[in-house]
Amino acid sequence: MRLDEFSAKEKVERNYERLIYCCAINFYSQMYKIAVPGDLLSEETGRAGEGTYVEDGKVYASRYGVLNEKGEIKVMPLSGKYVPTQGDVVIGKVVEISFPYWIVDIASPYEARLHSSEFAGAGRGAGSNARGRGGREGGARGSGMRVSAARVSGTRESAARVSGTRESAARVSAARGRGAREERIEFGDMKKYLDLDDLIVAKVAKVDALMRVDLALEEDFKIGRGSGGGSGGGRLLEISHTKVPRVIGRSGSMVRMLKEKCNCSIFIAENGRIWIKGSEENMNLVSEVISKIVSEAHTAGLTDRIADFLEPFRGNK
Amino acid sequence: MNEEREKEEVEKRELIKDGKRLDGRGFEELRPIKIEVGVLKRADGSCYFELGENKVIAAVYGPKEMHPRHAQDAKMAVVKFRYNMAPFSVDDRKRPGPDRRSVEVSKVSREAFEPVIMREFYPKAAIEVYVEILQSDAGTRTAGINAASVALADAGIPMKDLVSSVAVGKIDGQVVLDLNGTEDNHGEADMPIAMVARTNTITLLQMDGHLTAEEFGRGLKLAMGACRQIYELQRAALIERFSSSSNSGSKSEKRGE
Repeated sequence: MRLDEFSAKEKVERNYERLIYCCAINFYSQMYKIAVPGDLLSEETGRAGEGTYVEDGKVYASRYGVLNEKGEIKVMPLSGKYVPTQGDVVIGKVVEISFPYWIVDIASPYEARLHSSEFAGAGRGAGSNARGRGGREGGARGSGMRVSAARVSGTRESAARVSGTRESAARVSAARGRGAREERIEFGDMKKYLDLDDLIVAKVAKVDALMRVDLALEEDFKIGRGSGGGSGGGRLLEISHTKVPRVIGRSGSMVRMLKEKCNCSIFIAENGRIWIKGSEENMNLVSEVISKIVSEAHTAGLTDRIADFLEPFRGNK
Repeated sequence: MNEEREKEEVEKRELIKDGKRLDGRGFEELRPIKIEVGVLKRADGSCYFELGENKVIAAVYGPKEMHPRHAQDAKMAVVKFRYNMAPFSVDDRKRPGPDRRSVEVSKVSREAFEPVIMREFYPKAAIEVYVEILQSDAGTRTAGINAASVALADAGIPMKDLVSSVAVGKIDGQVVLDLNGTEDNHGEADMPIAMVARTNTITLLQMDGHLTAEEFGRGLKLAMGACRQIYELQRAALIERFSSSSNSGSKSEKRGE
């Protein structure tokens, strides 16, 4: 913001004009209303939602972001760090091996850990994984489609429930029973299962009061290495987790459109990491569109505008 | 020429002439303010703030993992605040690095924010605030706090409110708002104040010099009014940031052709 040099009193007056002007702009370009910490939002304390707090029987904003007054009063922040919640599906990167855990970076102030027993007994699976990384990629794509579709189907809880983890959880726990006796992973062997920089899809199994985060592997958990897909191809994008809902769109409309028009598989994790896979050209297009969504996340009518943007690309598969 | 005159006036110890201050301001007038949000790409939140000749930049990182670990707080995030003056921010080159004064300013500034930041959302984590003074002309800590407040909001840190800050002081026996460098050097008192403008909750108050109880009260009242003005500017800057997306809209059209 630029304010030219004039006296403070004039400045305040000018600001009111500016505010009115902004409101006019907001109206015409379908901008959402922006809330700033401390803004008085309502006196109906029953409607206080995320990004707000109640004091003296009034609802105030606690975040800087888009105001949503339909139903619950919420302020959806446009920036901020991801804090893991139980049930979230995240993309993590192995940063340390500290027996018996893999320490996993999940784009959050809090590191997560994955216990080696998540693998025990799944030794066969891991073995085949080691053999056929390429083969796994196809699976990752499938799981990606499923999880992201599930993620948008409703609330977080339902996402966690539907995301196809029930069978994988069953598989893992069955495997655990077996593995306890048969195939405990030795310290030196942990690398064979997951090495540094490996990218995994995992579910947040537990977060305790001290913010210790435990992960459980999702099915087809291994998706790549580093920021690229290693030999299997694919690419990792990182955005602010606050903008994930915009990339998914209302009931998944945005991501569905992206998948169709760009012929890519897209997996969106709740920590703001996105795994895309397709031809080089298509992945470039997806990255471009996603960065566009991110920079315009605060505007309304975004899906329509992205649809217009993608229109000319329909035929060039 | 102006400077020469200013010097003469100072030598005569006249900081007020014809009911006006040396820079032409009235007693209850702020210096011009300019605020820009999100000026740094690498920081999680940032703000550039100008208050007259003061030029300040604030950057916020986090919440992130707190190091060293023994300094973690299991119940809430730790706020780290570093106030630093650039070597070129003053007339004679300032020796770089922390000194007694900047350590003190960092401490009181940090404490000015602790009541508003909802630290319990991020146990064990650290929120880092860096304030760099690029150019100084009295009132840098208040400018730094104003900048940090906007940068914290920009970083998406949950807060109860924005903090606004201003200094009041006494020159030539007169209580005035927002001292500049000359007034600060030759005046009788300087009192920086930070507060939540909406509730008039004071989060920082220091005083250098002497004020009578009556003058103190008058100064406080002045500061409250000024913080309200600054708050409105901070808020307007934050709102304006997301009110201009017309360029991206036109970009999409161009791409479509």
